[in-house]
Amino acid sequence: MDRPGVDISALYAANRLSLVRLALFLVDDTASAEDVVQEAFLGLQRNLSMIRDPDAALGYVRRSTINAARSALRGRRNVRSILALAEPESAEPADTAALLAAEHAGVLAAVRQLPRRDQEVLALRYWSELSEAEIADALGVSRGTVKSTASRALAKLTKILEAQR
Amino acid sequence: MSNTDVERLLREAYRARAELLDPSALGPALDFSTTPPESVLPTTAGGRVSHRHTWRLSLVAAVIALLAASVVAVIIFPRDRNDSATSGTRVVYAAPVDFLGHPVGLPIAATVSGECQLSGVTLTVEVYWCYAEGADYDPCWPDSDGGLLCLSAPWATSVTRIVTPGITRSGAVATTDFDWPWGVELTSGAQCIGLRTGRDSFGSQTIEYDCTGGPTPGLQLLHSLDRTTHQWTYQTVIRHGRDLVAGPMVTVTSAWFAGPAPIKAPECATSALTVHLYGRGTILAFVNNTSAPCRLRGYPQVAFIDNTGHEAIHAGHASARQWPVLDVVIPPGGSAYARLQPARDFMLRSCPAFKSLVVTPPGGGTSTTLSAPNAALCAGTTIRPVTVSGR
Repeated sequence: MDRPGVDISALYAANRLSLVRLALFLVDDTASAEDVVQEAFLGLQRNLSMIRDPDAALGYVRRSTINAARSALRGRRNVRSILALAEPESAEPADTAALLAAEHAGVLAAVRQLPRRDQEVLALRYWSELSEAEIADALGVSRGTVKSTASRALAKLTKILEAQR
Repeated sequence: MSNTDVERLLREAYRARAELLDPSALGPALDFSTTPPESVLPTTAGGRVSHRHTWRLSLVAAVIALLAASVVAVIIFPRDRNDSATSGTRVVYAAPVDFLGHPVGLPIAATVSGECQLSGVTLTVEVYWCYAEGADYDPCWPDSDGGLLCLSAPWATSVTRIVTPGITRSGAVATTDFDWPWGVELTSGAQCIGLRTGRDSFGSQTIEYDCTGGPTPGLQLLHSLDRTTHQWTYQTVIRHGRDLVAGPMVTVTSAWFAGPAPIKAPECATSALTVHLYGRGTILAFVNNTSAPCRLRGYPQVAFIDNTGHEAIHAGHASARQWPVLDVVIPPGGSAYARLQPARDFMLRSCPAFKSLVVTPPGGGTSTTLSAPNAALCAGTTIRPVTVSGR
């Protein structure tokens, strides 16, 4: 089957890193973030025949990344508890927070107190710099929901940050 | 603080965190250029493949298949908000529904519509986290009427009911000795609930629980549960604004798990089970078609039969460290599940097409042959142990 429209290797090379970084904001360790993005691209390859519009491929990978990140969050806690029986945590170095300026670490800690959907919207908007329409597509919700979720999330975040001061 | 300030801070914080991820530290990149072998083409210096490829669509198992399970349980079991007192830490199973999904009678404080996905609160029961009207609800139990009942804390005395399409109860309940408490109560009277999303670290340990109600404001529990004695303990930190300081060792009076409580049942006879394949050929469902609960544990045997009728590949076992072996008790009409997992590097292998799968339940017995006309499963495909969820 000739698929001249979707060059998955190019798409992967161009977007892997930024998607791993996006995933990093949705899970909290690099290994899970990498797995999430790998899973998303493998999913794209499996479903390539269903994606008629080449421009839709990136949207597909973004959606899969979010979904896979949600699954990763689900599994990780218990995997961690099993690993803890035998060996130390294999996740990210604990000093990551120490490498960040206190202000940035505080902002990211505050984001983590928000509902997961809010965290997704904020990461897609302020890290991936997506439009409301693109975020709506990535999350499978309406643009109106994105707008209201984003403004509510910002308000909650402001409140937490002000309380931190 | 204006919105613009917060937006600027957010962008800066994301960028700063992203830059800590060293691109050269990432694992090996996927190679999409190796199927079929003759289509392998050189890449340019930048690593971008500049040639067009001939793609053979891999109908390999989806890693995430969001298909609903298929069952409703039909016999009565005791209420499941039951406590089993011990002389040390008391273990409590909290759930708004019993083994069959019947509400145990907690009042419904609100009903909202939302979206739900599997929760990470436990591996032992099929529970969901839902997002509705700007808030997370986690965990939520499917009830026998097609809705979900959510508890905001193990000790909550009312539930929120979520209405959402497409969730069907599997009904199975598993036992494990390494599940984490959903919440704990300390000797000080503080109550602590497990954190769900990204966590901070303190030293080499992550912070896993937030506590309220005790004499120490800002108390949090570290990833340090010690249950080697009858009184379980945690190491703690105390949060003062942005600062964390080491706190005292604390003792757990009650540990709350997401119920229903595990129950005992005899091993499932092969004749008690019907086997189905769904989720694009990646999920095996074992349906208990008898009128009594029964138990499954471990890995089904799965052999792939090629187009000539020969057994070509036997699925190996997925990592038990990642996919733990559980005792899964299936109610009458309920299901346990086992997922086929493609090899991580399956794109690099040759993936012959298979005609069917021969499945033997864990523990042996009669095999079932299932047609799998689209399965292209490669060497390295593994099978996970049976679990409570088919999602």
